[in-house]
Amino acid sequence: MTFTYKLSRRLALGHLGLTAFAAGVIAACSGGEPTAPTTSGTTDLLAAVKIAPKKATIETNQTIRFSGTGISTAGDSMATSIEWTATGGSITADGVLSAHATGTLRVIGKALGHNKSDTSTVVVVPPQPTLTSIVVSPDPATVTEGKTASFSASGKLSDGSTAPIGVVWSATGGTIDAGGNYSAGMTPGAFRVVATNTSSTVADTVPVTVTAAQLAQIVLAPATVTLVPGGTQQFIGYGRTSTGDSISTPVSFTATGGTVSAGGLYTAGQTTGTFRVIATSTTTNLADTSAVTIQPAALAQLILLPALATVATGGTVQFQVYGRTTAGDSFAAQATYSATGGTIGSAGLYTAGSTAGTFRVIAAQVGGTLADTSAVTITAPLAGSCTGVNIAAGASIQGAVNNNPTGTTFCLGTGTFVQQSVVPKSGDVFVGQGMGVTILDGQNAAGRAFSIGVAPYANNVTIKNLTVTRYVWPYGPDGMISAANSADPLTQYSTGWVIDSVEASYSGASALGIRVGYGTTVRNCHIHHNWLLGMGGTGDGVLIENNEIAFNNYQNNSDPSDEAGGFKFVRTNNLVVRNNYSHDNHGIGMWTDG
Amino acid sequence: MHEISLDAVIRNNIVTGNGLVDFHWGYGAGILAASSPNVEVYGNTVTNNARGIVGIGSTRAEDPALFILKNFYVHDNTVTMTNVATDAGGTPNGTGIVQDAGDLTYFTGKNNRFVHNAYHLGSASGYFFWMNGVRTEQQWAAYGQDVTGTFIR
Repeated sequence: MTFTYKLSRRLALGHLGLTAFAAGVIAACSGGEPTAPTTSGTTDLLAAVKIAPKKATIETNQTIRFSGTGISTAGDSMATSIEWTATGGSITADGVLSAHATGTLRVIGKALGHNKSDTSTVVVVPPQPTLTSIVVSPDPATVTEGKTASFSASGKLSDGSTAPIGVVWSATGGTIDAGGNYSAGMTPGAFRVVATNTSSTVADTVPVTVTAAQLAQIVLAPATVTLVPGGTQQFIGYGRTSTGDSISTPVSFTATGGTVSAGGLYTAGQTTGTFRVIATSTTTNLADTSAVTIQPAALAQLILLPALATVATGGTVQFQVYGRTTAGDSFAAQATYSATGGTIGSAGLYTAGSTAGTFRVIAAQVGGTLADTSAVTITAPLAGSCTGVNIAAGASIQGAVNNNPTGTTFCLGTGTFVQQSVVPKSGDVFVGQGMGVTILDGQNAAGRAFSIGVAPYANNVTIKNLTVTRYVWPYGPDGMISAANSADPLTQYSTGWVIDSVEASYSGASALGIRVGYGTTVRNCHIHHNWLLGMGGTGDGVLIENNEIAFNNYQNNSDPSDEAGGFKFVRTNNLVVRNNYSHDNHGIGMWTDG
Repeated sequence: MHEISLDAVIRNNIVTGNGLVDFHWGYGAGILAASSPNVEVYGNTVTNNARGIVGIGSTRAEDPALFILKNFYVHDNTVTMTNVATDAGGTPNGTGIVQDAGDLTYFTGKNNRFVHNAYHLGSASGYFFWMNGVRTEQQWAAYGQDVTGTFIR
């Protein structure tokens, strides 16, 4: 008799879960092929049904249980209700088959509400009353964890002949279905498979060794990546076993074209091209390689510096041009220069003409359309407007200071004052001919262009219209202009210094451009390319206004978390910072700290 | 009567392209106030630094009651964070407050606040540091920051 367990009967059972399931199926059917939810929140279509065992031998007094599962279009198992039928014997709604007539029959499992089905073959044999032993094959067996193996059993009769028999399968270390299909668990070790005859009088046991899956492959992800110079990418290396499973396994990283950390963080170098990152297993000789392409970021902006410059007639200003990429990185760029009001060389050195006024310098991208323009204000010679003690370039400024009383104005001439370190008297005023025209050049020797000396310290000093550059101070972070001593800025400081229209650039270890004291004003200055910071210091009532502060710590001499960048002021009261342009510092742009 | 004055005012500056080399955590900001009370930051244009405007709450051994991030008032700035500036620890570009003192009152009890700033943001999900995490603009506003601010993506 063929028995079909109908949907109508299942619903009649009133099983809450089944009813809910059926309702879902019915609702889904109205829109076409039913779907099932997945853990990812998406839905998959049912692609197939698989039932087990696929083949079995049973005896006429024996029952076996079939199971079935759905396979989604993504290849995942999915819960599916199975409708069971058999071409002989009888099968329950739960898939339990019994047959009383010998022969061969088929069991069909069909997904409820679908046209997907699978078929098993069952051979029904008579019990063997003269059974003396059972022989299970293979004997012994080895199975990789998570994999399957098929076992078969035959009977030996008292006359020495062999006959097919039905057995009951059991196993350790995994599961085994009614057809002898063993699925190893994930624990390696020694286990067993047992076949017992239906009357539980004869059995055979075979040893099964479940082995650990072997590392078969190293996988490095991502397989390809494109970076800009200096860009970073986190790589991940893991293992894949012979069974296709992913596992964590220790790897070491190596790279070309950049550096890679022990944790797999790759930092691209500055050279463009195609490079590679390699993850190598530390326990085997397996490895995987990813391709890294380093290519320049698209140039988004051309930046000409200084953006604003003031220079006396006949004076010079050094311009520099940078490119900024879409990634925000800056790099030295090639440009062609043009200028009004003076002349400019191919390397960016502008020489002011003889006419005062406002002019411009233009840098145009080579081979492109980008450009940037800076404003240049050419001022009439200041010598006539500076009334005081004239000091020609090369003469000793300190000597003049020493020979004059407090509150003297010193007019510094055009040219370079080499390796001069000045300790002013209170009220002294130092007026140059303009930034880039009057230059105090430390030539990378130890010294400070202006500093406070020893107590009593000079207060109310004004320094304006000049350049200080290339002073080194190996004893601490003093400035090339220091209105306080870094050794103890809370007690060794001046008050009321004004630093106006001063270019402070290219200080050496470990000097700042300017160190402020109490009541220091820094205005209209161009403070750039200094060792640690453009400015720093401690003091009340400090005013920072209308300055351009750029490219400080450009050689990455200090970690930004320590002190590096545009400025860092510590323990100030009433600090005011306004109308400044801070850019491209290698560190914090503007930092106030307690 | 003693009236507490602002210890620092940072206003009307243009701050761009800073901190892009060797940045991490809050270090790399265009404008940074660290363990410093009474800092007001307003009217600045802060564009594509490694971090935007950041306050750091750390404990200073010298005088922990005085040198502390409080009354940090950041308002009416324009902050652009459309560049990619993710450090080795995975922290992206952002504006807000970070702390390493184990003290959540930097966010809830020290009058530190961001008000009516305008932000230009990139494609990352979160650009704001608050309550020890990186927050979306919706979370940021839910914490009471820049409720009247603008966020342009």
